[in-house]
Parts: sequence; structure tokens; C-alpha cells
Amino acid sequence: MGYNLSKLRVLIVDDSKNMRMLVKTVLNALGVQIVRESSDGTAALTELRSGPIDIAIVDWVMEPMDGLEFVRQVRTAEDSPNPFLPIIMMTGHTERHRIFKARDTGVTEFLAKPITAKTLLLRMTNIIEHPRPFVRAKGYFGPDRRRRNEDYQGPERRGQAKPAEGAATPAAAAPTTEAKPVQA
Amino acid sequence: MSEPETKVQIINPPNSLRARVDDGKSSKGLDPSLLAKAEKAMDDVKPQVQEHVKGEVGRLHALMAKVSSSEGKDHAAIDEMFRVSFELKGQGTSAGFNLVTRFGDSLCRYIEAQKNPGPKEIAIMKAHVDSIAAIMARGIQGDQNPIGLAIAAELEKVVGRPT
Repeated sequence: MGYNLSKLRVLIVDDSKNMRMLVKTVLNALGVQIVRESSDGTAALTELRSGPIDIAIVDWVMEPMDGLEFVRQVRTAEDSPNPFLPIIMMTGHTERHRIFKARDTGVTEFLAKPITAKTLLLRMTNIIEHPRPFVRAKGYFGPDRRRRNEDYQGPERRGQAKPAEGAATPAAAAPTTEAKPVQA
Repeated sequence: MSEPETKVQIINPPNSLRARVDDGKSSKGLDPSLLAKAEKAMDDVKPQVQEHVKGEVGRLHALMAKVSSSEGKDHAAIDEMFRVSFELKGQGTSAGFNLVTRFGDSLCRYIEAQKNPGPKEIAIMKAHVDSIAAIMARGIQGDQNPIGLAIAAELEKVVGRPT
């Protein structure tokens, strides 16, 4: 027996009813019992405001509000219910420039379609076991985009990191002052 | 005084997710048997996904006819073709038709690159659509059909690599 996922609250946002059914099927098989659904970003924001969600799995291409705009709203809107929400971007857009765009908008994990049970499980495991710190910098707020623990040789760019406002507890808000990348 | 551009905040939100899934009674990590269970669940709904994919392939065929008859001038039909091929890319493999995903990927990349398709471009789109239709008509599952692989490779040469 491993983690008990029955209390996880997951929101699936996709304009394809069939895709939502597929993802929900996998989640239910993994033991997730609370699965809510929305067909676009606007509806998803309403859903997010109606009750807490632990993980959002979001498609990119939707109308009227696409997945990228949803991520932007969650991360940066003043009335966002949870700017730290782990968001898995699930999309057929697998070109490098699009992956970078999603990352730079504040996506937590990227899940390429066609999905498999294994890839979805891996992304969820990563979110549960290796949560990344968040970074607030000029033009960006979201999970730390550097995943690799490299021996960084460049200039110190985080020397002026300061304690964060809005973190849940003082301990949680303790800043990471080292310039080395954070391992995900 | 204005703030330096390099100023960043590093925030470590509390890991409430871990607390939600760790009930203290079970071992850490995810139960390895869960993957097999989830894969079986995906298999169980495959017939539903196949029905959906078949419907989308029918739509793609009808849209292709519109694009052909308008000689590429029906831009709404082309846009819709992009959306349908993108959907097929995303769900073909989940339905067991891996080559539909491959042709769908190639087709949506090709459509995206066309501003004003002429006869040659329309013929290339149609080759994709006909290939997808043939895979579905013959029920070719998986990604090992030699003829399908050869056609996909040829079309991908025309479309080019993703960037």
C-alpha cells in the first residue's frame, strides 16, 4: 500500500468531453474520488472559486479562455483563490517553443497527449513528492523553472532574495538564499 | 529609488498535498499496483474512445471535401480541420490507433504552416486524411503496420520536423 489518493481534489479542464472521461477514468482507478470538470478556463476559474482544488489538469487549446490564460489568471490575478495551485498542462502542443511558453507562464508539469496512465501517474507523483519552490521575479511568478541541480557558475542573481509575503506560515516563507538551482 | 531588476523572492509553500495523501497508515510512495489498475481502466474505456475517434475521422473527411471544393478558400473549414486533426493526434493512440496520432500530428503541423493552400497543399492534406481514413477502415491498431509507417514517413518528409 502506498499513498492514499482518495482525499485528493482534482480539477480536469478540457473542452473534449471524451478526454475528460479518459483522464477521470485514470484518476478514479488511482483512487482519486473527488474529480471536478470544466470545459474551458473561465468555467475552471469559477470552479476553483467554488471550493478548494489540490491539482488542476488543464488542456491548452480551449475557448473562450484557453489553458495558458487560465494558468496566468491562477498565478497572477489579484483574486486568485490559490496562486500556488499545482497545474499539469496536458496538450498535444509538444513543440519546444510551446513547452517553454507554458513553463514561462507558470505551469508546474507538462503532460503530452496522447496521455498514458503511466505519464499521468508520473506527473502526479512528481508534484506530490518533489514540490518546487515558487519564484516571484520581474515578469514571472510560478514554480522554479530550473529543475536540474547543476553546479551553477554564473553570476549571483538571487543574492537579493527576500522573505516572501503571503506564504502560509513564517517557516514556509523562509527564503532560499542560495543561488544554486533547486532540485525538483 | 527603483527596485533592482534582479530582485526575486523564493517562496516555499507548505506541502499540503503530501499531507493529504499520507494517512500515516500506509507506506510512502505510490502503490505500484495502481499503474496496472489505471492501465486496465484505460483499456476498459477504449471502445468509447474508438467511437469518438471514428466520429472525428468522419468530420475530418467532410471538412476535407469542403476544403477541396472551395479550392482552399474555405478558411473556416481549414481551421476546423486543424482542430480535428489536433484532437486525433491527442486521442488516436488512446483508442489503439497509434498511426492516427502520427498522421494527425503531421496534418495539424502542415495545416498550421499553410496560409493560402493551393492544389499541391490541398493534395498533401488529402493524402493525410485518406491515410487516416484507411487506418480506421481497416482497423489497423498499434504502430507497426509497414505500409502505414512508410506513408507516414513520406508525408513527414514533406511536412518537416517540429520546432
